[in-house]
Amino acid sequence: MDLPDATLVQATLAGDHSAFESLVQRHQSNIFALARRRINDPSEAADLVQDIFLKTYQNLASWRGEAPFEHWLLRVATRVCYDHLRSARRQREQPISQLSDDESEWIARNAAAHQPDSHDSDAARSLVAKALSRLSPSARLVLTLLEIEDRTVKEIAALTGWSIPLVKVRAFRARAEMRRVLSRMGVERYL
Amino acid sequence: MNPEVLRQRLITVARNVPPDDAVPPGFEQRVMRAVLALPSPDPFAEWLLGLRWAAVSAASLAAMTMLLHIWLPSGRPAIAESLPEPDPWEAALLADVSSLLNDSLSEEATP
Repeated sequence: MDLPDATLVQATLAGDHSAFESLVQRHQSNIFALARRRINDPSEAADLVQDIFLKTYQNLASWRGEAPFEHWLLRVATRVCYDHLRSARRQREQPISQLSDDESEWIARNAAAHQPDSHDSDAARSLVAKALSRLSPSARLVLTLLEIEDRTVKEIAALTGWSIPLVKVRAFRARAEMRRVLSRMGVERYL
Repeated sequence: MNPEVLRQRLITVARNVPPDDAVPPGFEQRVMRAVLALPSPDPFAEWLLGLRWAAVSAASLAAMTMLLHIWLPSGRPAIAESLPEPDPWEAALLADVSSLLNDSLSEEATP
């Protein structure tokens, strides 16, 4: 029988570790999807998901049951991801890498076409991953939430703890930053 | 093509990629091992943390008191100026004996 999240949380707080394991089992695929959107490396993403669940366990008592547990968990996950992106950026500066042949070809083909080219989307995916990984943590997070995951500004404000005007300002700056990153990667030669 | 158009096309590509939600086998057991390895909350550490916050509060209060102490004397003359002038008779009555003696001595010294 599937117990509701609130019951599992109460049981965990009462010292039942298996209840927390059930919570992890229930939500881990969503959290993995969220982490893989933000972190390219799968093993780094797995470590991040583990950190998210540890943080969830440590702060479980602060969930008051006013919002669904899943929303609260998403908020914890978003904040842990953001902290991770910030510390990872401090530790290693991303080198500006040049475009691969496939990526250059994809840009050249798309520059000529009126409609986006759906062929060779692997090249496009690697280009997006490259560009996103060179963005600042806040720019990467806000673009992922707003433009890739299609969340509203209000939702992003709730997930990140930023105010609504701050989300809008960061989204505006993030778009400009991504254009700059693409230009540094040399895409303008093909446009 | 405008760089913004290229950016939007790339975002569209990223949006169309289904998120990879594959969970490594036995991942929940890995999480549970990490949960069980978490250090149990130390009451002494929590007390120390509380003490640290109390120290920070006390230091900020002390700093505020010092700032007020520096700033307040500038207000004092205004209070003193607002006091009424002492009555001459009252001033004479309450005059210090030593100042009276000094006055008399200085009168004797002058030829």
